[in-house]
Amino acid sequence: MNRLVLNLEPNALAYGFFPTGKQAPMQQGCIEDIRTDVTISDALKQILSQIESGDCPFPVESVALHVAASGDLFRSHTVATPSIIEKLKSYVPFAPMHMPVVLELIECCSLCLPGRPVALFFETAFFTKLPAREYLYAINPDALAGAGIRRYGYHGLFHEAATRAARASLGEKLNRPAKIVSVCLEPHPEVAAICGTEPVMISGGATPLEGLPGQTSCGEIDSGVLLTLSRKEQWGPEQLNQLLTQQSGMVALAGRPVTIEEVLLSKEADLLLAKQVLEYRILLRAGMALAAMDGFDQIVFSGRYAATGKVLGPWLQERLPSTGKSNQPVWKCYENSLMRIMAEQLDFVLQMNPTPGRAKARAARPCLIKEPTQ
Amino acid sequence: MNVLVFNCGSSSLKYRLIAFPSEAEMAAGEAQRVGPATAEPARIYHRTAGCEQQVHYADMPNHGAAFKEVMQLLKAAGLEPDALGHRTVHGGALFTQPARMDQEAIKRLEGLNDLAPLHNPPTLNLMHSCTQQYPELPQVAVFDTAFHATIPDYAYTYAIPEKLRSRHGLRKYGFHGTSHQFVVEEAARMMERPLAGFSTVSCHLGSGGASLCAVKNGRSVDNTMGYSPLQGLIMSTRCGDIDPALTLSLLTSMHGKEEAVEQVLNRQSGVLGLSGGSGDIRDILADAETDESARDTTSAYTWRIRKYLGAYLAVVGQADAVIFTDTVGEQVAAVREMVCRGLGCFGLKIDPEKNRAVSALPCDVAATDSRVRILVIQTNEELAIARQVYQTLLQKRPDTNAGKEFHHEPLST
Repeated sequence: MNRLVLNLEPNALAYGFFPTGKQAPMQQGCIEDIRTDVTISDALKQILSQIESGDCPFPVESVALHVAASGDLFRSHTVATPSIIEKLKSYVPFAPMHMPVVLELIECCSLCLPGRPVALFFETAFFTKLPAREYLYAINPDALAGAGIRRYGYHGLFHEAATRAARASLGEKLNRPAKIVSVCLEPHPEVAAICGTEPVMISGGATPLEGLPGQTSCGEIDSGVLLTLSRKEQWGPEQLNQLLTQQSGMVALAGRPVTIEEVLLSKEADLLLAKQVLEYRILLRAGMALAAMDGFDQIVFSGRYAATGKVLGPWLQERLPSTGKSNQPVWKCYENSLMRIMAEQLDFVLQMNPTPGRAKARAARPCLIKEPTQ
Repeated sequence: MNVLVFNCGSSSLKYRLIAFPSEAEMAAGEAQRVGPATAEPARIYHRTAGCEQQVHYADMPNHGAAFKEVMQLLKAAGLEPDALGHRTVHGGALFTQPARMDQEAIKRLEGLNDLAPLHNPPTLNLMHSCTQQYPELPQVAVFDTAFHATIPDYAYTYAIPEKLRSRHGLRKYGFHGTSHQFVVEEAARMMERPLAGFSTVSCHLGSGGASLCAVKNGRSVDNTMGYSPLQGLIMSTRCGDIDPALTLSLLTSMHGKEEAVEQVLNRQSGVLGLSGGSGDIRDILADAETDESARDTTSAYTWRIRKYLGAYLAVVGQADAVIFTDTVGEQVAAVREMVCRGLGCFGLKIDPEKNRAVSALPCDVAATDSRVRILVIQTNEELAIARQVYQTLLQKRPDTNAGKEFHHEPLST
């Protein structure tokens, strides 16, 4: 099946087109300035037009759409149907910036690609299985206006795919669930402990702000710091949010914009503090992961900077308790992109969520894309 | 030398008179209901060595008045201090070791009131009263934050812009340092190990506040509390670690009123916030068998301790021991067991029977084949403070059982 993968970024719509049987995208790109200069509908039309103009002989047969925030509404990936769309609408108050755009994009897909199924990939679905002891915050839920506030984690797709690969590499050697420390090296990095297929610990929180510091986000910070800034700088929540999401993390420690990869690979003195802070926080979370599982079998790095694991892996291995095979690497880098992960999983999601009449609708669809010519 | 140690609470004043070098306790007590009049009269529970406890009633509108009453009770028993020691919660980056508190030092400490607005001012008021009433008595402040002055920059730095960090002193300070230092020294002594080569994770689990401290080669290298005592473990009524966005959400819903948010995070959260009933984990444990909320509260409370224990064991490397202290750490075997059970990957193995049978402290509740010992040690902050006062006045740094001196690295902020 020819797959179009769509990923909504804060101000852009990224895409990749994967023809049947292909692991790498035949075409990929990004439409910038969505929401400001370009409507979602126009962005999708541009994407379809670009695929078409690239002498691509294949029609889009299915769509995979990345959904960053959906709380604990969905425990697995699914296909957009009227009832699913209604469920997504109920989440708009909790993700007011993200969910309306997702809904608009689903609608545009149904107009531009009628009859083609749209599979929804939820970042938070994987972590709906976290135990209560891990996801609970010790705050009176009444103070937070609702009991739905909990720790979710934000790179479920990477963690899920990377641990699947790690389990496969461990093979049948274990007669118990594999214990995997999953380190996702994205601009918001995240560490998870996954026992078998079940997540048991996660560094991310109710939002991606909690946990490890990111390229521009603060990571863990004492609430007292925020209250002091509010009091002394006379900053409101908006300004504090701007500080914590845009001006903190590596950019604050390095004094200039810098990626996680640059920081971790750097030997420069001006990046030393940023590097040590990030490494140290990852070590702390890895230690937590070990405590959550009583040990580990493998560390797996994923995300766009997964290759950095080649440096971070030996560093961590040296510091964590030995697994009994100290002269062998106990870490792996899983370097597949998010788009590829979704493309690979798309058929499976469609099989698991059959929608009646899909084939019939496909046969009757008006087509904006050229059919392949023989 | 007789050292009189004060531990100043918002409405209480605990004291203990200890003779040096014998470390014999000569008198101790607590003034309660200090401050504005309450439904019951203010009183002092006072005892001297070898005598029954007495209750002394007196008006004590402030800590200065309480101090005056305590001195009179001591004088009536024929006891006189030669020096005063003050437990002081926050020394910021200025006070990284015990300090003699003359007028200049008191003024500098007053400059740190913003860092501990609830805790430092009563102590400072007491210091002023002591200076006025007994100017000849030397006063030494011992800081809860001082033991943590050795935490490295990569562990104490928050990932926010440097100009904000330096302008407001925003960094991890760590707390409960006096208690952590005391039990770590006791543990090294128990295990007959030189402190300079002793590594451990100290779990100070109080009925109110709680923190873990990672200690490598005798020095604090991390503490779960941060800039304030809010960060880290789930405590009685404090939230511990939360997503920063939740604090912003509370600020929004409470119209930017920081005091109201502080009230929620400090007084209505933690075990109390989770259980909706009691803030005392001992009460919650009793209901955990039958009540789902109590079960979730208990598991979240112990899980957070366990995770930080793993984190700090990874940080210190080959630990010699894990130490439990203060009310919950010393008295609640179930908490120790839930935290330590199934941590064999770190060389830690608790003996459930020994753990449940603890009757006298200190003791070791680790299994015989556990590489890392699990020690339960009674904390004694007053004695620890008195020791530091005595040593400061003798103009030497605290001895370690290895005979090596403590060394505090300069702080960069």
